[in-house]
Amino acid sequence: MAKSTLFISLQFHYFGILGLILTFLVIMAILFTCIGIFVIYYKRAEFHKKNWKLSVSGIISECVFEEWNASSLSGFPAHLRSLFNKKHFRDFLINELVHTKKSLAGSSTDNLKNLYCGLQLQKDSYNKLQSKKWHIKAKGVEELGMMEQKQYCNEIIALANDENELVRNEAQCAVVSLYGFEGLSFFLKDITYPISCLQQIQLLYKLGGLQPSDWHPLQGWLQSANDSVVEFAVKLAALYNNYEVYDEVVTCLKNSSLQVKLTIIEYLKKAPREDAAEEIKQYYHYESKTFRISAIRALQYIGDEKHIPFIQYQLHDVDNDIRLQAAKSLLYLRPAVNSAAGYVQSDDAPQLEEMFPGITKEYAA
Amino acid sequence: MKILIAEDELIMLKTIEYRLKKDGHTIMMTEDGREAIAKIDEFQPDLIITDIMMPFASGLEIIEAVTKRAGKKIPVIVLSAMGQENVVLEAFQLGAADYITKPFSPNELSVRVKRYAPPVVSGQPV
Repeated sequence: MAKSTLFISLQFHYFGILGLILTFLVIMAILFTCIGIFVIYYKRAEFHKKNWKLSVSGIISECVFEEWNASSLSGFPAHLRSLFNKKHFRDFLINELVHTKKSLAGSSTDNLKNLYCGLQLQKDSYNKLQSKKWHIKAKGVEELGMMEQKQYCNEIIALANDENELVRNEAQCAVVSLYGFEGLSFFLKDITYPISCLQQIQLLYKLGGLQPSDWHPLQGWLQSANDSVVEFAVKLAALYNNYEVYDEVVTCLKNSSLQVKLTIIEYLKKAPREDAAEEIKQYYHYESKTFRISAIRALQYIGDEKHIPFIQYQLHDVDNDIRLQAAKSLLYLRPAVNSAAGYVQSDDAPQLEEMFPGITKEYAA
Repeated sequence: MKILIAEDELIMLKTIEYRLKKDGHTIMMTEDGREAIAKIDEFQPDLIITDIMMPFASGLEIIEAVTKRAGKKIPVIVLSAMGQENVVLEAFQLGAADYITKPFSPNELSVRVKRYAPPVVSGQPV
């Protein structure tokens, strides 16, 4: 009895392992089949794209210099005309036009835009805005922005405050591309989501070289409840050397955001105002270590002799980083001098050398 | 003038070719850097226009190959989206004659190319 039970249990055990192996092999077979189908589909799609690229490249490169009668499609080869009903081909064509437009400048891009509109491709791009998938939405915004489709401005502006960050970024960049500095007014007053540091750099880059005709909105942005908008507004004021809003910017030192305050310090470093250093000093004792270090560093550029006692006092701070920055700023404001007579130390030098050996030579003029 | 264009983007390649052919230049095109270097001796161009980022050999390697080459000095115009200072400086240090960043105007490129046309004497190029 015991032997038969053992035999039966061994058989079950044997068939169990066999079953597991078979199941594993079936799963692997299905997996490899799926991978194989995907690879075949991918290769086929790439093959089509390569052929399409060969076909359309000549048309697009000619179109850059000569206007094409795109609305009738008669200028296109027969094998391409039949493809215009396929969404993949239209998306491919849009990609090529957008990519080409990005690489070209000047009057040659107008013909690309005309080709895009003549083939009604703006409708495809607009339809992407309705997609629930964020990456398709963002793609649609990019296409409409690159192809200067101002008739969809309202839809793009609405996306400047989208919950998805990448959609927001694309929409904001598109609005600035379409309308320049004035485009900022369309969304900065309403956005509730933060503008990331990288996005701020992107927007400033797109604005590069453009001159605003009206600075009035800047004052509103400096009072925004969105700290990143305030930060961006200060950066704008600094970039364009706008010191008419100096008082409004200084008021923003009361803002709770450290990033805003640090940006204001950078603005004040450039400001041609004698009281800029005093404004920073006023807030010094209430602020964090990062602010203090930044403030002491700023004093080396905008401070003068009368700020030296203040900086010297910071040499007694409990924090070593603050003491070090104070030492550097002091040496900057009153450097030890290497002269023909030899190395002439400033009055602070012995004390600083004791605190931070080697620092006086490092910062000698 | 014989011009060798090295650019891996087909549409850009054809756009530049189209524009320069309209000016009457003879064009040789290639989509990768290694082929471009091989074609220099074969085609003997008067001017090379090259991108930086290309398969197998970069535009900077093409400039280097041209500079080290004995014989006729061939001016190289770099046409690239990489506008960073260090890349531009490196290109000039290697011997590039000009550097145009993308986005660029094909009409502007055409004017710049004309500067490198060989001088013409009695209706015949020298």
